[in-house]
Amino acid sequence: MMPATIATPARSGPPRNMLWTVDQFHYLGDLGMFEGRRAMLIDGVIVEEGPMNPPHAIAATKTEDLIRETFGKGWHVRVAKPLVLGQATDPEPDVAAVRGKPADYPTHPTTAALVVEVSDTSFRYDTTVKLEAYAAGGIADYWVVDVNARQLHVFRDPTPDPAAAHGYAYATRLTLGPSDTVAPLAAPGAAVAVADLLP
Amino acid sequence: MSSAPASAVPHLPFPPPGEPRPFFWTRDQYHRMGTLGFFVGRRVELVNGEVVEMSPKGWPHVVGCRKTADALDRAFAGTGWVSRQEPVVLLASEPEPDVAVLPGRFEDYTGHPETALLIVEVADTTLDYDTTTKAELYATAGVADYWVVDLAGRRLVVFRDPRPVPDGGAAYRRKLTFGPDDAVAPLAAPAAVVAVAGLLP
Repeated sequence: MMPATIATPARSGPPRNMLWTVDQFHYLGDLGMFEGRRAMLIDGVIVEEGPMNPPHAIAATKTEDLIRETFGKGWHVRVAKPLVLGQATDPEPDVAAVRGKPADYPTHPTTAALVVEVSDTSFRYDTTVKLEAYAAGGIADYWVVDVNARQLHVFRDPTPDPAAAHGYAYATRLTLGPSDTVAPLAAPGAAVAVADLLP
Repeated sequence: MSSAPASAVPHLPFPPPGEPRPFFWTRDQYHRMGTLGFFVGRRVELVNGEVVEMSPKGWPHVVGCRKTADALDRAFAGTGWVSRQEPVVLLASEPEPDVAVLPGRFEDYTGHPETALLIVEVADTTLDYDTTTKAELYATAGVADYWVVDLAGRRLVVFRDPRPVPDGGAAYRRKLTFGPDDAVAPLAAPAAVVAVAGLLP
């Protein structure tokens, strides 16, 4: 069944690219349009990232394993799976810790207790465009693993910010190095060693 | 005069490292989405891998298109046929130019044309887009003669001599502007006299 489209009000002006809804984006994925590609939907625009370099892939695997271990029972970890933030945004985060079991989500989750993006050459995008999407989506704990600088950036406290694309940004920003540890907000007793996230 | 099968167009390689980039649709995927009903109620073209929505047509645009098509019908009688907002397959894109002059006879075609003797876009609210993005597309596809009817400015902008540019693609080397008192001969119909005033509302 054809998902509903984003209404385009009749207007004059320059031509513009057609925008997609989350449902259309997922439907296109089901049709195999993104086979072998890393596609995501940001503000109605389908964007594509290049293939992962080995350090990126290693960090992603280490991060996935560590987050799964840290959160343990009562949570499940989703890797590059849909996370629906509004009608037109699904960034398909590298790693997301979601409460409960997969079967608890017959439709895709709309929030996560922790989102981690592993950044290689996409660092700027992950700490600006994606960051604002996660802040506006109410993600309380957003981490970016910078594999090149070997740092972990932790973003917390999404707060209204008129300068941000969707009106929200993170009020708290920490930059941690390989010898630091950090506890996810939703697993405060844990101690995640930054070095264990890096390649 | 048949068109290449849509599946013959290769998909672009992966994007280079760095910023994510807009997903590049192939013609094949674009057609499939159309068949599935994704574009019902929308007027779209495929330009450089993106599905672009056309602006609603105002009356001046309708008049400009009709007058231009009629004038070019006369200018190319016997050498080509004129299409109006119909697909032209150019590289991996499928724009629907306001007016296009295609070589030969319409009856000999079995699919969308892949070359054009002349392409004309009528610019109501789209002058910027037509003189930049569209110009780049048509130059890269090797369209020798590309015109933009500037309705608001009441002039005709003519782009010719497409040449490759260093970063890939091509650009028109020559850009000429004509006013309502001028006349222009299309490159592919040099004996014809097309009065600019005859293209404008």
